[in-house]
Amino acid sequence: GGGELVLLRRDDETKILKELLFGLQGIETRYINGNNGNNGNETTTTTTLDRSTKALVNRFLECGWLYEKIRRIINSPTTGLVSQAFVANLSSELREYHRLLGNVFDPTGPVSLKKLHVWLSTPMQRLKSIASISELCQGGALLSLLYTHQQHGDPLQQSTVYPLLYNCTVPIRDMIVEWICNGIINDPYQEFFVSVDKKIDDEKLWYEKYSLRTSMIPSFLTEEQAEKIWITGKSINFLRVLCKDRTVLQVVDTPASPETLFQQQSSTEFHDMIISAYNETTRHLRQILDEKYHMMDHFKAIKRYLLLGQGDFIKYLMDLMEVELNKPANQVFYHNLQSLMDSAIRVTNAQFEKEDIIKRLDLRLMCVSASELGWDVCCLDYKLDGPLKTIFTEDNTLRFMRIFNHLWRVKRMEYTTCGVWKQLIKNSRRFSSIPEIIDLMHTCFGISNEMTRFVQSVNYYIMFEVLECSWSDLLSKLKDAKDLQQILEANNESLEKIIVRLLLDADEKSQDLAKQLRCIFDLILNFDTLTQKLFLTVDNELDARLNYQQRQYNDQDAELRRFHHVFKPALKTIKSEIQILKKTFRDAVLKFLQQLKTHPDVTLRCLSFRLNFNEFYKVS
Amino acid sequence: PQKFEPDVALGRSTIVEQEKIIVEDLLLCMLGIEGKFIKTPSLSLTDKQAERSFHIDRSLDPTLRDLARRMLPLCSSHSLIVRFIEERIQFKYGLVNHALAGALRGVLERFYVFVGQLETQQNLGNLTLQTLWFHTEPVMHIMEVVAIIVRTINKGNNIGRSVLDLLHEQTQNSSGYKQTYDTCYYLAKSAFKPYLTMLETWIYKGIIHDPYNEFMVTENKDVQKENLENDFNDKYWGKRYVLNRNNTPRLLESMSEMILNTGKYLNAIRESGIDDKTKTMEELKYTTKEKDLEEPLEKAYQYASQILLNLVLNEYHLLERFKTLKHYFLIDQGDYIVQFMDIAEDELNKSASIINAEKIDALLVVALGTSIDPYKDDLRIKLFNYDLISMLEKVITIDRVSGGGGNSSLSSSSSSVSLYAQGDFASTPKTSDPIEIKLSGLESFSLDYDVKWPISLIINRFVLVRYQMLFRYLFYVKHIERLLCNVWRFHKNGRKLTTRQQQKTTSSTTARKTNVGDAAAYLRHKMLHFVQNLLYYMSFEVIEPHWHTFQTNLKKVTNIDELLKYHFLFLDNCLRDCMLTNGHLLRLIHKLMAICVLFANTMMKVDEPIPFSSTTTTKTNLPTSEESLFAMIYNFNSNFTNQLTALLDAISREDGGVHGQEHRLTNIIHRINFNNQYHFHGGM
Repeated sequence: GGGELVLLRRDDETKILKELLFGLQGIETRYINGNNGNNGNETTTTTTLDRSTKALVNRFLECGWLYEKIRRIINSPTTGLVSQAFVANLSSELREYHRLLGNVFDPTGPVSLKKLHVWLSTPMQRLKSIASISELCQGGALLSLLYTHQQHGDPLQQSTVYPLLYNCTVPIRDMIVEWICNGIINDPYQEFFVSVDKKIDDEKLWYEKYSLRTSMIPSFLTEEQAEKIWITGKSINFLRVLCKDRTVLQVVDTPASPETLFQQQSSTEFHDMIISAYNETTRHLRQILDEKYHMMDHFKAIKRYLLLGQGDFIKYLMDLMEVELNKPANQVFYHNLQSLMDSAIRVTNAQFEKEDIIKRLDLRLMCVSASELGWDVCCLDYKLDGPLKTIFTEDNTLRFMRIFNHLWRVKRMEYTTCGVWKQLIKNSRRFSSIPEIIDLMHTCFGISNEMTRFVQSVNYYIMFEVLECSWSDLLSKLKDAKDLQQILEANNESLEKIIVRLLLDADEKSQDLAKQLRCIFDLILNFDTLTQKLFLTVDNELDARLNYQQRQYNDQDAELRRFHHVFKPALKTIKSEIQILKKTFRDAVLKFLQQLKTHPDVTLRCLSFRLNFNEFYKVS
Repeated sequence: PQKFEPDVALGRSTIVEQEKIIVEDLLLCMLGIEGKFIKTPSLSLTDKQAERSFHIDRSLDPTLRDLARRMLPLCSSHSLIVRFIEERIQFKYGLVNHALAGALRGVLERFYVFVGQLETQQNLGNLTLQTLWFHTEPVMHIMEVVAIIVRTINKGNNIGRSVLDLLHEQTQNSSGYKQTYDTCYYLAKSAFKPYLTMLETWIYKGIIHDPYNEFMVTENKDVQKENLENDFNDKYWGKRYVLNRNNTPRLLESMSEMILNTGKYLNAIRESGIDDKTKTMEELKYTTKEKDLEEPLEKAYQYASQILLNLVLNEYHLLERFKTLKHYFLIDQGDYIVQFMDIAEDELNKSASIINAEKIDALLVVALGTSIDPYKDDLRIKLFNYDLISMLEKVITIDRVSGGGGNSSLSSSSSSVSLYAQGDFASTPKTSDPIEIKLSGLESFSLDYDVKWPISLIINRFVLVRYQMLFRYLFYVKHIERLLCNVWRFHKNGRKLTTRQQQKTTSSTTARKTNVGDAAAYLRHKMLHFVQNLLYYMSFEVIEPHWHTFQTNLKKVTNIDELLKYHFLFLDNCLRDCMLTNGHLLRLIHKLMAICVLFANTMMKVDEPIPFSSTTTTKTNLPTSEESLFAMIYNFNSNFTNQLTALLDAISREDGGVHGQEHRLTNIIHRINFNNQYHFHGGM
């Protein structure tokens, strides 16, 4: 009858519960089979259980299935500290689960299938949330995954994932602390977001040895924080290896607790820790660079010598080297020039420089092609070593050479125009006895003034607007720079700017302008040779006249003939050449100005109206 | 579903047995398991939220059946809730839904406890259908309410704010019946918790931590403060953090502006690099009464706005910068402007397209050299490619479109957002100007001011545009004054107004000569009087009083928004009272100015040798005889008088009107028409 039915169920219930206890731990029994293909374990029993009981039992067996899944994750091989922590946590979760089962299935206490709902609803949910973190990734990526899972509104899920996240963060936190305190990476499984490439040698330590593994940056750290951590460690290594400085900085007293890594909105402990480590380390590095390696002194020295800051030295050098450099490039030899440079150093203010700086000054001769003069191939060089080589890399050295070349050329133009003027002044007095050339001299003076003015404006522009401005920018940036990265950037930026403003960059407009400028400079050199020719002719004339005078004014015909057939035509050719030169020069300058007006850089545009301040060069 | 096969032919059991079985079945159903008598068809797989219906086998005794049937809704509710929890716990539904699912799970756990208690009763043999019904009824009622909530959420597929609203409403509506109230309150509290946590982070730290986009404030990361100087409108302040009305729960709606501003201020403070740690974060709790939440929000708001205000006023010397703006843009002291006009005149007279901007900048620097204002270094120049009238027209048109009404006041910041909604204002003028007038440098010239954060919040593009408009206007009027003064100098230097032929005539015609000279002098005087009085009016009767009001207002300002408001008000008042917002008056004045300019230019050229440079823009046919000269002056005079009369007339009509404020404009009439020489309709 009906009563028996019920009774039967109760007996069965105890048996069923016993079986269920195993099933909940994923163990197969006589009545419970695991069906790994389907979505759950099923009961296949020989005794007939009614449908409802079966349904109830199957419902709870889902827990068993989840349990199995987690067990499998635990048993799979783990590579990585974070994964190990993860797995350890999973094990402790399961241990908790066992304990619960032990309490619930206590043989003395009454429990029934229905009451199991009460006990198992929460654990089931916990198992579900843990089992859903099924992808086993590595290191920082696993942390990001856990963090995403923790961003859940359900407080149960939050509290389930929290201990996982906490414990898994500990190894990463330790790695971070080790890195920012000692610059060492203890990362056997490549889980950390800073990686080291041991094959790179020390020269390129800063640039290439340590790189940022972005996939391993946990999502709760910002890019900025990751970068600061990276730079801190790099700086420590830089100090140790290149600066040979082994002072241990006490940057971190107590490492920040792990939850401050992923709960940054509630506490800034972690952030403070890395910021203070960063500050301390970079401050120390800066101090070492400034005091032990005199970085700022070298910057200043480069400005003085490579960027022609030390005027007296440069002028004297040019005076001494002029003769040598006028030779073709393949006849210019290093030892000759070097001895000239040494004598220049001894004579000018450069002798009061520090020993260290002087011995780094050197000459370099660039690659020679047949048509060039010595002027084009000779460069000053400044040798650096040690940690400063990181700041002034080979690339930078090349850039400096190009800049120097350009500056040297402009200076040479200045030199030339001064020379021309000197000659003109000297000779105008002597030539006053020959009336035919007065207007020619006047023209020459005019052209010389124009050219002088042009060269001086360009020189002023270069010296003050380009070099001085970029220098003061660089100084202020260096003063504000906290870490080596910023110093490098400041240096690069200033060099780039100088290159653009000196028309040395690859921009099409700049190249056109540079060509035009070279054109103008060639014209100036032509003018120099023309005036030399003029003086020679007139000198010959004067000599001839003197001769004539000494010959007691004999042979007047011959004299007149000479005058008309030799002197006058020569004069005429020179005159026409000078006229042509004048026109060409003016046209070239006009073209140059027009090109300047459309250049994207603003200081070059200013140059255009400065050069033409009184609108002398007008478009007709 | 399995075929309906009862294990035992129930019809054959006794009532007592049937009762026991049906009780067991009901208990199972409440747990979501099919029983012997009670079955349920399976639900379609696609519609997860459908109702589950239960059927009771007909072979059951009818009375039992009826009683049992009454308890079936409880089972449906349970099933619905279980499925809801499973569904909504997924990540994509957002934090609020997660929290709700968690809370519902708590409700279900209590329910299971209840079922367990029933089972205990059953095992003791005390559970009849009747007692079951007795225990179940109240629980059913509560679960029904919860199921209604769940159903509504499912129907609307609600996420975030709508869920919160729903729960809040339900809680308020159930305040009568305590048990449902408690349950609803519990659900609402849990669901609100993540939202309120986000709110706390926002108002105490200015940070949004919103992984599923449920919060009422959205951050637009594209808008950076570094772009602020290039932004033409107040995009940063307006658009970086925006209130998302769709995500604002009704509970917080009245305080949403305040919440938004609190966070914005905190962010502004943080962006200036100041780290503020001295706050205690008070936890926000869910409540059915809005007023309870208001208090901590108010406190946070006051705190944030105080700090920002102090920062801006004290550390960044905002007040001094306002003075600088007034000094240079509103030309309150003439030292630099006269010098600048002198040296830049030649360059500015050229056409705008060939002017070298850097040169003018350099000249401005020279002119500013003598000023002692500490913030003058941030001044720059700007050359517009459209003139003042077009600029004003554009601004007024857009404002009218945005519903500014006849009032054409440009004050509130909400209208500013719509003002610039129509695209970038500064780049190219709208296609409705195909005119392409060649502007001279004078017409396109204006100043600009370069500021850094956080001053750029207050002195933003929106504000600077208005300063620029005022500046251009004042500059133009000053320029005309200068031209007329030049004419005066010209006449004073003894160059009597004669033509070339004139110089050869005898003194008999001197009387007529003087007439021409006199007429010209008289007209010049009238024009100068008008221009100067206009200038005085604008400077002393408009700008100074409004500035004074502005300063007084500043003394009692308590937060940034008020500061912005007063500033806008100041500028709006100035624009309005200088007649810049009134198109009709402006056009009249512009015509007058044009006449003055033409007159001045003509006067300067009359006595010059005939082949003058053809590069000037005015090509007047110079009169060659005295009569024509006289006629020309007469023309000018009548034009000028007519225009001026029209202007004064228009002004007197105008001022009847809308504002009801001080009748400032009539002061122009008093100044210009002090001796009643102009007779117009509204004149006294």
